[in-house]
Amino acid sequence: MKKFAELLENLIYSPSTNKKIDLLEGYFKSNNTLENGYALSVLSSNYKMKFIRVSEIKSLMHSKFDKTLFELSYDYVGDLAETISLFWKSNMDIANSKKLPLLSEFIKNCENKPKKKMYDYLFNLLDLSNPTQRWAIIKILSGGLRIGVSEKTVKKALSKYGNKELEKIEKIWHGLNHPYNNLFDWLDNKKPEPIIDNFKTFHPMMLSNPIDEKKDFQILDHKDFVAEWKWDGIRVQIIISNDKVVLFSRNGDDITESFPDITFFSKKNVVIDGELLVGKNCQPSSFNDLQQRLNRKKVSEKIIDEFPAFIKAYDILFFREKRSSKFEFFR
Amino acid sequence: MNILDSRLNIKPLNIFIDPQHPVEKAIISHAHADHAKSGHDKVLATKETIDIMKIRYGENCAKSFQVINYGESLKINDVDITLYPAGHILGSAQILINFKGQKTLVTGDYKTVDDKISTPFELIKCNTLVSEATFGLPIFRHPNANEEIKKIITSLNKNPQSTHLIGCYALGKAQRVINLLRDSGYKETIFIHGALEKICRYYKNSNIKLGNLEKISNLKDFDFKNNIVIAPPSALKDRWSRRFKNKISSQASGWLSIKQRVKQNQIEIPLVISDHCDWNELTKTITNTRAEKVLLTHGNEEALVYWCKQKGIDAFPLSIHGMKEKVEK
Ligand SMILES: [Zn+2]
Repeated sequence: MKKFAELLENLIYSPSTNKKIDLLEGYFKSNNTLENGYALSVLSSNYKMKFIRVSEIKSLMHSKFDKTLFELSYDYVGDLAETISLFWKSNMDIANSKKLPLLSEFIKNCENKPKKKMYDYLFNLLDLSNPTQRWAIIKILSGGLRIGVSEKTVKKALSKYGNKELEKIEKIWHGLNHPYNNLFDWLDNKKPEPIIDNFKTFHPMMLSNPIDEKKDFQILDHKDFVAEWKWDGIRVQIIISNDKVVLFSRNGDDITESFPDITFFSKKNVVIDGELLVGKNCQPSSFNDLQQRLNRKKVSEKIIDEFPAFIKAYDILFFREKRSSKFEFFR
Repeated sequence: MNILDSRLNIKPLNIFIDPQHPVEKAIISHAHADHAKSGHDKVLATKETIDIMKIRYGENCAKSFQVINYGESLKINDVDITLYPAGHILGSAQILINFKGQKTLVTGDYKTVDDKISTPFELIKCNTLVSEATFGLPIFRHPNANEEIKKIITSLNKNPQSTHLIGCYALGKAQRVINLLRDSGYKETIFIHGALEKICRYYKNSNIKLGNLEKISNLKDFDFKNNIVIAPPSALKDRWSRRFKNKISSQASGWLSIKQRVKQNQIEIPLVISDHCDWNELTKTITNTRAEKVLLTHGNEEALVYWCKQKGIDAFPLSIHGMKEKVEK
C-alpha cells in the first residue's frame, strides 16, 4: 500500500507519458507477481472495485468530524478523497505506515469484509496513514482513480517491463483477468504466453487509417484492395458461442444489454466484425435514430419496435477454432 | 471595530496599517508587495522592512522613514504603538495598539514555527485580534520544512542528468528554501534568477546562511544539469525556463498540499513550505492571545469565524478596503 500510494502520487505529478511508463516499470520491477497483479487491476479499471460508495464515506465523515468545517473544506478542495486525506486527524502516536498492509492484502481484506466491519477497518487504516496514503486508500475503495494514466500507457509499461512486444500484449489483453497472475508469470518468463479463449474475448479491431493522396496513392496498388460501403452506424464485434451472443463496441465495451434484439443462431463459434445499424426491415436509417438505442441499460419494447437493430457484416474474424485471417481472402 | 476602521486606519491618529493607496502616515507590517506600497509620505516600520522596501521600490519610495525596533513603544497622544516579531519574513512585525488599556493586535502575515531566519513570532495578549487567515481551513497542516526539502535532495540523487527548478517568491520564500537546502547539507553553488539577486544579497548581509549563489544571466552556454535553479514561480511558466534541458519543476508553497493544485501548476515535486500559519497555528494563536474579539482577514475566514463562535469567541470576517484576494507570498 505504501509503495502503491507513492506510485499513484508520482504518476499524477509526472508531466510526460515516458516518465509514467518508467514509473510503472520501476514499480513492477520492485514488487512480486501478486502485488503487480493487484496494482494492474487497480490501474486498468478492468476490474470494477467499489467497496464503499462516495455518499457513505461522506456521511461517515459527518458522524466523525464537525460537519460545517468538513463541508467548508470540501467546497474548497473539490475532491472528496483529497479532502478526507487532508482533513483526517490521524493520531500521530499510532500513525505508522510500516503497519499498512500490502496492496494485495488490502484488496483481499476489502473483498471479504462484511460492510459493518469495513468501516472499522477503514478508520484504522486511515489512522495509520499519511495524507497521500489516505488519498490512495479512498480512491481505490470508491473506485474512482482518475490519475491520468491511459490503458495504452499501462500496456507499454508492461511491454517494457517484460521485454515483450506490445502487439502480443494487446492481443491477449481483453482475455486477461484480475489478478493477472498468468500475465505476470509470462512477463517474468516463468510460464508461456497465456492462452486466451477467442470466443470469450474481444479482439482489438483493425481501424481505418487516413490515406495521404500525394504520397500514398503512388505506392498503393488498387489490385491489393477491396472497397466496401461505409455505413453510418457504429463499428461492433459480435462473438457467438454456445448459443450466447456478446456484442462489443470498437473500444471493447460490452454493449449486449442495450441490444436484446440482436440474436444469432449458430452451433458453431463465430466472431464477426460489422456495423451496427437501426431501421425497419434491415433498411438503414439515420445515425440519429441509432442514438435512440445507445447507452441504454434497459430497452423498452416500444423503442425496439420503432428502431430495430441489425448488423451489416464486414468480416468473419474467427470461424470454429480458426482465425480466418489465415484463410484466403475470398474464400 | 473601535480604534481601527475597515481600512486599518488607527482613527485617533490617522495612521494606516499596510494601506493600499498612498497616505500621509503608514505603518508597514512587512515588505511583501500586497502590504507595502510605495508613495506614502511617512513610513513607520522595522529597519529590515524599510531596507527591503528601498531595495524593491527605490530610495524615494516614501518621503520619510522612521525605524521602530521590535518591542519599542511609540507614544502618540494617548495611543501606544509597539511592534513585535511576526516570524513571517525578515523584518515582519505584528502591530499592537494600546489605547487607554484596550489592546488591539494586528498580526500582519505570520507563522509561529521558527524558520531560523526571521526573529521568532512572539505571542501577545490582547483584547481584539486582527489575524490573517490565509490557510484558515482544517485541511491545511504544514509538514516539517526540513523533511520537505529532502524531496529535492532525493530527486537530485536519483536524476543526476536533470536540472531541478524550484519556483519560490523572490522575497522570503526563496531565501528560506536556499537556507533549508544548506541546512540539509547541500553545498554546491545554487543558481538564481536575476529577480532574486538583490534580496538574496540583503539576506546574506543580515547573516542568513545562503552559501554560494550565482546569477543565471551571468552564464552563457552553461549546462545546468545536476544543479538547482531558484526562480520566481512565474518564470517557471514562461520562455525563460526553456533554456533548461531535462528540467524537473518544483515549487515551494503552502497551497501545494492539495494535489489538484500541484497538477494544475504542472509541478513534479511539490514542497509544502509556507511562511504563513496553518490551521493549528491559527487556532492556537487565537486561543492563546485570549482575545475576546477576533477579526479575520485575507483568505479563508469563514471556517475560522465558525470555529471561534463554537469556542464562544466573538468573530467577524474583515474585508480590508482595496485589498485584492490573497496569494501566498
Ligand atoms: Zn507576506
